[in-house]
Amino acid sequence: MMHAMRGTIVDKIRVLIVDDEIEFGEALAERLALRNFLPEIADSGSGGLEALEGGLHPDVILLDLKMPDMSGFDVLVEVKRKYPSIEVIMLTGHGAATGGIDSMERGAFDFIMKPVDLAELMEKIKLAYKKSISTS
Amino acid sequence: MRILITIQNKSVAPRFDLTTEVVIALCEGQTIIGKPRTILMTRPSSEELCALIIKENINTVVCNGIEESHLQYLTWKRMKVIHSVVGPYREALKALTGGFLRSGTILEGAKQGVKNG
Repeated sequence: MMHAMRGTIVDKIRVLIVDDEIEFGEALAERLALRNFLPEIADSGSGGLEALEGGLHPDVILLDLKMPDMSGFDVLVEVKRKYPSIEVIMLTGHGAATGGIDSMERGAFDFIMKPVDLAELMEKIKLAYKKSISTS
Repeated sequence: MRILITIQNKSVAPRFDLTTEVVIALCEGQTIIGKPRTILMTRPSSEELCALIIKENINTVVCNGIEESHLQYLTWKRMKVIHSVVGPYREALKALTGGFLRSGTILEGAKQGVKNG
């Protein structure tokens, strides 16, 4: 399932949050929207890929590493294969730095550990966005 | 002094065990140093929140309702816990740095909310 948080304003950074922890995804989307980002949420890996196939084109994807239907690794590989200009930031559990580093080896822009420091996350999203517009 | 306030929207979160968002501020005397950090928890969990409090080397926790066991745990870990605080978290932070925040404080913003509500 996927739903829009806001309208379509092109000058904001479009962020797709892919996380099966719905409350977390919604809280994160709400906070990002308050800070002038344009977030969308998908509550599964397959839902995220469907959204992209359906025409959604985010600048940056925040992708949870551990999800029940598809792992974040698998989604990452698929995203980078089909949409190489979209930058992906992995969300990993506390103490799961190895997973984050593995993700970067598979093409992720960066990773951030949960619980999420919003200021740190926003900084990484902005850097990822700069990279995405320079490569697209 | 490192301060953690459990929040929900712009107020001190009603319950410690249901908190998913916290603000961490660094304070020297009556001055807040830098911009307070906002941390989003993955899910509400007293245990994970306590772990975050320990990891972040927090000295003072400001919250509203908290279970006795968690209050005792944090106190045992030598943290100051100011609980049963009701009202906007920014006001709580200001009251804390001003030295007049106590457990049970109902902040002016909460009273105004009741009047206006």
